[in-house]
Amino acid sequence: MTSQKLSKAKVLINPTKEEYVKSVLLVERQIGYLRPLPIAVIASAILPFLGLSSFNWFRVSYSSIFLPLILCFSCPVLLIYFFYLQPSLLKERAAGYYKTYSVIMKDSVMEFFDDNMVTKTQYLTLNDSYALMSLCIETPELFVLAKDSERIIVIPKRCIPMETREELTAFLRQAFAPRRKVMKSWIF
Amino acid sequence: MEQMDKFTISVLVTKDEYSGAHVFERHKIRSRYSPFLTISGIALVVLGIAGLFYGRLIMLSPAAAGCLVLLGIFLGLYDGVIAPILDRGAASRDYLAREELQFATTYVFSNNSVNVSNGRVQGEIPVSLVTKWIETPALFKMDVGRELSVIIPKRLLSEGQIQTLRSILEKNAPDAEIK
Repeated sequence: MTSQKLSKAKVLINPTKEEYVKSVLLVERQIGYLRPLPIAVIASAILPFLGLSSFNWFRVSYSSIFLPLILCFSCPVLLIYFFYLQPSLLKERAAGYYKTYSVIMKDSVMEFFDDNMVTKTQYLTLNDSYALMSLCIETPELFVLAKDSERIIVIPKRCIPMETREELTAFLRQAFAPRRKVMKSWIF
Repeated sequence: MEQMDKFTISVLVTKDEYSGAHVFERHKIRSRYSPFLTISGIALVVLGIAGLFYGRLIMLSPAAAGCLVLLGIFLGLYDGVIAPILDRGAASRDYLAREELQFATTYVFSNNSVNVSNGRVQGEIPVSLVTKWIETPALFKMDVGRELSVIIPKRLLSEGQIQTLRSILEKNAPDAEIK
């Protein structure tokens, strides 16, 4: 005799564009293009120091200020790149992907089982094992499950019914305990 | 007789096929700006060499001229040598990380939709939802956003099926082709 275990919770998921874009940035910050952000901050603090210390203060010539200038100039360039340019590019790309996501995953129903979750949409049925998820990011508003920086599952907490919210939140925290990151925004 | 507007195919993509297609796709995407990179690289090398020999005249120290030469060589070789090596490495890591690429997947192509079935995904997607597709010498690769990637090696297709698949994609997703 076979028996199918009942799901722990059934949730209708409908992330907004803002939630999806925010999720992409969170994942990129952990395992994608924005991962080197702390290194960039440290480098941007060291570069002006190197630039100023390599500047020959008593024999100024055009050729001697070339390298110090490049080093000092690299500091704002690095900060602008990691805090503005790259996030803007990622936001723009994510907004583009959301168009397809919103069609394919429209009104998707997610069922959580002990070891896996099943997402049913108008077009697809996706079966994702928790063991194959490399990361779970929790913010005050979202759970973001990621296999890699490209494939993410967004679970807005507002979509979880009140009666199962506490139980499901505790379950997800436990299921992803070693791979769970708590973040407030994409930077911290 | 083989029905040409609907065919079923079972696919297990190899790492070499996946990496080769990724390198090809990246090269096509880069081709929009890679001539600019190569020309900039050549210009920097010329400027750096000039700096090494006539640095005083053009106000370049030997160290700065050396940096320019190195940067120029990097930019000049980026598209042809460096990027393909990096892309192949990234694709190999991606292949190992994506467990669904290691499952056999059954695809059923019809006039305007593709039915997908493997250990993770089951369902039917309209071809009009394909956001990006490319035909390489070895395979067809189609992406439906970030959610689904369909890879069909040509070694599994007859000449007629290749024509059919190409025409299905050209008819239903003409703007999504990477040219």
